[in-house]
Amino acid sequence: MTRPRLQTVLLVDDEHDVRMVAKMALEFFGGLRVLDVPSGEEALAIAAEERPDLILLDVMMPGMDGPMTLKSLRGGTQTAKIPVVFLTAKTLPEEMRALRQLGALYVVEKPFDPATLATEIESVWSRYAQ
Amino acid sequence: MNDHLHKVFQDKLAELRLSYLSQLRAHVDDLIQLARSLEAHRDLTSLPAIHRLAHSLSGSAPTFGFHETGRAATELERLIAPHVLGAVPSAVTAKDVVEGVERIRAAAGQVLEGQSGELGSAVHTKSRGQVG
Repeated sequence: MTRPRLQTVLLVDDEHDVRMVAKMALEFFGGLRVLDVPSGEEALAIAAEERPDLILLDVMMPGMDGPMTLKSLRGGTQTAKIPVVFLTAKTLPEEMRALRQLGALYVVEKPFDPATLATEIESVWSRYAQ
Repeated sequence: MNDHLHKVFQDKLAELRLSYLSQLRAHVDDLIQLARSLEAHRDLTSLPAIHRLAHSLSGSAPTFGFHETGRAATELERLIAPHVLGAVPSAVTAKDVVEGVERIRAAAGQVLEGQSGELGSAVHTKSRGQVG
């Protein structure tokens, strides 16, 4: 079954300015609808309500971090199957592997290039949608 | 993307870059305070907070074009990560951490030069004590 085109992304990052750059890049360059929240707790609520196509989730956040948020998403009936892409500062290879093993589709490394972020996410979505 | 949208994007990016400078200043000031505490008290509990700030700067500073600050933050993050993540016995020293914070401070200081307000003064490296 072929999934529809990527339309709505939920972006979760506690750093306001970085979140705004990513949101703008996805909207301007990808034509995507982007919902954005600064915490894992808020992500759980809006994900259940809005059912985005994909969640772009920062790893290191105060309170509920990325891995904890992913685990909670997987436990929710409304959110269990929403694909998640982690967003994290460039880190050690073993940490990257560990993040992928948690069940994320992909890991986007910060710093990201605003001009190519949408293409990167759409490429991940295309592979997932096949 | 047409020229108008491209210009709107660049203008908004410039606004966010300005906004980020105040966050950069706050992060670096916090790092300096934590490094002073580490140096004065050998307070290991501050290492996770230093690690979080370094990780944050490592990812965010280069997004806004502040690559040297990002590089210095990545170095510090990688220095502390084994201690904070507990994967291997850590031999990180207070001196190493303070020097790492000083490198971030120096790089950010160049970025913030000409901005209003002074960045926190140097941490003062005196300690050579091992904290790991």
